[in-house]
Amino acid sequence: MATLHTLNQSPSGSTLASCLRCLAPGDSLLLLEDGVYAACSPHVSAFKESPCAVYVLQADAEARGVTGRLDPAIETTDYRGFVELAAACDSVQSWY
Amino acid sequence: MSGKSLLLVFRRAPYGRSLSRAGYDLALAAAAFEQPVSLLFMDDGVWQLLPEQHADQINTKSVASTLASLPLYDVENLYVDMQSLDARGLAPVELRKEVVPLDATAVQALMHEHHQVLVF
Repeated sequence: MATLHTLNQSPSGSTLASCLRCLAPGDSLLLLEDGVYAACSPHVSAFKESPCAVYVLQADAEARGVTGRLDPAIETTDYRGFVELAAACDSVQSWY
Repeated sequence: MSGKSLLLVFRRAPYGRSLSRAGYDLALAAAAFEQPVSLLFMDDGVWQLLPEQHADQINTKSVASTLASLPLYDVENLYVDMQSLDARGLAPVELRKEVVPLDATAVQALMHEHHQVLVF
C-alpha cells in the first residue's frame, strides 16, 4: 500500500514533523502551497533521512518566488505529475 | 491630520491564506486617511518580501505588486526581522531593497514607539 502524502503547510508549524513521522518506505511526498517552503534550505535537511521520494509543485514554487532556492535533491513536478503520482499510489493523505 | 501611529506585523506566508491580504488592505486604508503606517515582516511573513513572485501561476494577485504600490500611498516604512531571515536561510540582499533589516532590540523598540500594533 503506497501512499501519496501531500503537505500544504509551512515548515514553521508542526505539520511537517508529523507528516515525516508517518512516511513509510515506498510512499511519496508532494509539497504544495505553503509546503513548498520546506523544499528550501535550511528546512530541507528534514528530508535527508526520509525513505520517500519528495516532490515539489512547480506552480506553487514559482508563485512564491522560491524556484531558485529549491534543493536540487527534490524533484519538481507539475499538475500532470501530481495526477500521475496520485494515480500510481493506492491512497492520498493530505497534511493541512 | 496626524493620527495614532500604526504598526502592522506580517507573520504569515503570502498565499496560503488571506490574512496578509487583509493586512495590506488595512495599510492602504489607513494611509488613505493619512494615518502613519509602518510594516514589519517577521516569522513566515518574511517570505512576502521575495522578488520574482509569479502569482499568476496560482491565479492570484502577486504580493510583490502590492508592495511596489505602497510608496504611492506614502507607506514607506518597511522593516524585516533579521532573526526570521536567518532561520530561513535568507539574506537582506535577496529581498526587496526598500526593506530595512532590524535586530531583536530594534524590533522591540519599533513595537514600543507605535501607538497600535496589529498582527496579521
